[in-house]
Amino acid sequence: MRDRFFTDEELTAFLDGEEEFAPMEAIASALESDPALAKRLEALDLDRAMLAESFAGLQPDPAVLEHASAGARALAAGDSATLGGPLAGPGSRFGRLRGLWVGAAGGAVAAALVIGFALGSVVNPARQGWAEYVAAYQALYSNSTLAHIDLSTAEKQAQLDRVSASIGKSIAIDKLEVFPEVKFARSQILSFKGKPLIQLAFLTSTGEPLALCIMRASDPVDKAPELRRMEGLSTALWDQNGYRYILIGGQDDALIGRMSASLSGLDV
Amino acid sequence: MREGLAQVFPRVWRYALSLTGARAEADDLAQAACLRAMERADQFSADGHLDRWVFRIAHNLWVSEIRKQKVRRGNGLIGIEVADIVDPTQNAEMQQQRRELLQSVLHLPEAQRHTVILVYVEGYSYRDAAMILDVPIGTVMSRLAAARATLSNKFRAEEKERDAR
Repeated sequence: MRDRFFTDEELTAFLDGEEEFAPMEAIASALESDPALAKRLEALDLDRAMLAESFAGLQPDPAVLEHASAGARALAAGDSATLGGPLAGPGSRFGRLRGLWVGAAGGAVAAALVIGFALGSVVNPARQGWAEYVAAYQALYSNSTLAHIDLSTAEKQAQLDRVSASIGKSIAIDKLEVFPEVKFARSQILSFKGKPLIQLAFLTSTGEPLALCIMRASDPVDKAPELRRMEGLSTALWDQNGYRYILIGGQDDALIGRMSASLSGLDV
Repeated sequence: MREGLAQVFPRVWRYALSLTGARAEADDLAQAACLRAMERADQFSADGHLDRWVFRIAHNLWVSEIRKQKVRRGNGLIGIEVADIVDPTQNAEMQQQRRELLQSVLHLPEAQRHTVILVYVEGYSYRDAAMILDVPIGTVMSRLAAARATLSNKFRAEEKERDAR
């Protein structure tokens, strides 16, 4: 039988971990015996992390954020005097912004909305490689991202076996289902700088999903779970037995703390 | 919407910068998108994704209004130069390789550039990017494949040059 030809679009979807749009297993299998296919993949190689980092430094002037904040607050309060603001001189860049906000104040939306830009939360954090990347990805998830997935325990275990094998691990599903408020939904293979990264996704009763991501560590020194906020989400990071872990999602720091302690204790 | 707009504003601004190629115009477009979102708050579903919705508004504002004005004025659709959009006070130490990658993305054809930024910088799925750009998913895939080939080829050629020196 003649081998199937994979289009560049399919290979791109494979590299991007878009399982819905790429025959993942067929490509992975063909790669084992097809050096030409490996060459084609190499010709589509892109360092996504570096690309994201190169754009991360592009930020609006602090004054623009501040002005937007003041404008939004004044808009919410119906305070047209504040909308001009000290930066909004005629003809200036901020004068144009003033025009936008004043124009909106005259509209039907004005007083009904309280926007309250929390400027502290939008300060650009220094990117920390894979964890930042995972956090940005997770910030886009909601329970509805996962709600359509309805796998039996056996199907989830089979999927988990295939996915975890990509990083040389074997994970029993019962280690992931020890918390009544979270339900293990699915596992998938992503990639970071060309290395496999697995994402295990959980639905929660609060409507905000969680994800446990694992990849091999280049520096195999164990580190206990450390809690922090990333992209506004509760996060725990730890290193264990040659793997790096990140548990992220929602705003329930206590839940993330308990889960990370349990998962590291079970050596998932 | 409070928290959501606070979170999404710098990202929408960055996308606006990639659309307009000028910081001042990005200020206006990002603010206009947020204001449009507020005006239409009643159309936003609480279980939806505010960020995608605001990105889509920004894109639509760009396509339907601002881009046309720039073209009419005869100063639209020119390549974007890193030096014009990077604030040297914020990015004094940007590594050369990252700067080159940034420039290469900014020199991609416009449609590829927008798709690359949504998927590879902002982390949207193919499905989400197609929704924001209002194009079929196949179009998103072909743009990304073309962009990957261009960028990969460029950087492999540069690596060869460096190795040859």
